[in-house]
Amino acid sequence: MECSKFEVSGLLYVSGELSDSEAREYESHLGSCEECRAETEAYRRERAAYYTPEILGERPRPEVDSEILRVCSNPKKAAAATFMPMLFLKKYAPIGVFLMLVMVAIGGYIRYHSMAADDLRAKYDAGKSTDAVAIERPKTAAIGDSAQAAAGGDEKLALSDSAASAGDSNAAFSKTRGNLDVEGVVPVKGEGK
Amino acid sequence: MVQAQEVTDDRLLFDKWLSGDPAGFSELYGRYSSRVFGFLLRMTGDRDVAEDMLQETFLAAMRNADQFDRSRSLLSWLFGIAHKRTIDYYRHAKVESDHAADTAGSVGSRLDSPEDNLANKRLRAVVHDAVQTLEPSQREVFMLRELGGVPFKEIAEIMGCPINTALGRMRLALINVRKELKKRGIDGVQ
Ligand SMILES: [Zn+2]
Repeated sequence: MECSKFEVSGLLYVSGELSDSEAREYESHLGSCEECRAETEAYRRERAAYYTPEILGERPRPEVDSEILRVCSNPKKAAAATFMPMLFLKKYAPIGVFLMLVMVAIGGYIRYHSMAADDLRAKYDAGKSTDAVAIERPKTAAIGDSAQAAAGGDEKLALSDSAASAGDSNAAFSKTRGNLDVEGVVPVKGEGK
Repeated sequence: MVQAQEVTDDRLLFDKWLSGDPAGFSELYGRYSSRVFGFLLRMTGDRDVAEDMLQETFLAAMRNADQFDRSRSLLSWLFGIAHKRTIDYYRHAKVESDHAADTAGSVGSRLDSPEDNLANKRLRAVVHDAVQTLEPSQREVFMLRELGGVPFKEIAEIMGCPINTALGRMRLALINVRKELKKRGIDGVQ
């Protein structure tokens, strides 16, 4: 019932891999074998209708296209180039974004407090009314020194808030320390954890 | 013949690109990327993994440009490289058995071209589902031959098997795809 010729000669024939004489031989077989003739025709029709690049092909995401074009277009650059691994990015980008948000939040928190201290100092400098200062005072006390520190003047207050406890009475210096903390030291620590 | 013309064009584009003209690469990429990606997607069943492999395939092709045998087709060569990527993937991840179960669901089909009308979309989905039911070695021969246009002689080399084994797998693949298409309401082509 089953002719075995299609599996070898038939497939190679459609694929264009037979020599001229082999092709001629298979064609003459087709004339006498109904089964191979039907198989060969069915395969040809299926190839034309279904097994085409339009049906079987797929497109990656556009960002993958542009990444490949970016890296590969210049053969000299490409030898040393590396791709951004899309899978890695997709997996770990959310963690990176989360860490950045945490850092921004920590930075913002510290900046807010150092600004509050500057604010308070400015109010003292300007000799504002005690009512306004009273709102700020408990916060300052909570951070470090006793409430009396506030009464002691601007130098001490600035020190206690920025935690620069080296005994320096220079308000400008403590302010610099405070800024350093915001932009450098603290966020790096936060990232490490 | 159209195929012979294509081979000559490929070589010209390849040389154009090697001489430093980016247009050579972008034209080759436009011509073949969806075929290579279709192969990688069918073989891995994972779009993210296939996208990484697509990058690796083109980068490897570029880095080994001197190994390209100009008597053969560029597409066959690309498919040979892509095949190696899938082998590494299976070897390292050992995911074949896990994937066999869920590939049909996770692969989907996406070839967004303007002329992709509803009937064509449905046909694509049906053919994809049918191909996805194939046992991996049959699926690979089928995709290498039908999407990569790789001759059976080269498929046997790529897969490291006798040519008769490759032909036998193809024959089974054709029978099985036909059966699956029939199950899904496509009964032969007139
Ligand atoms: Zn026959």
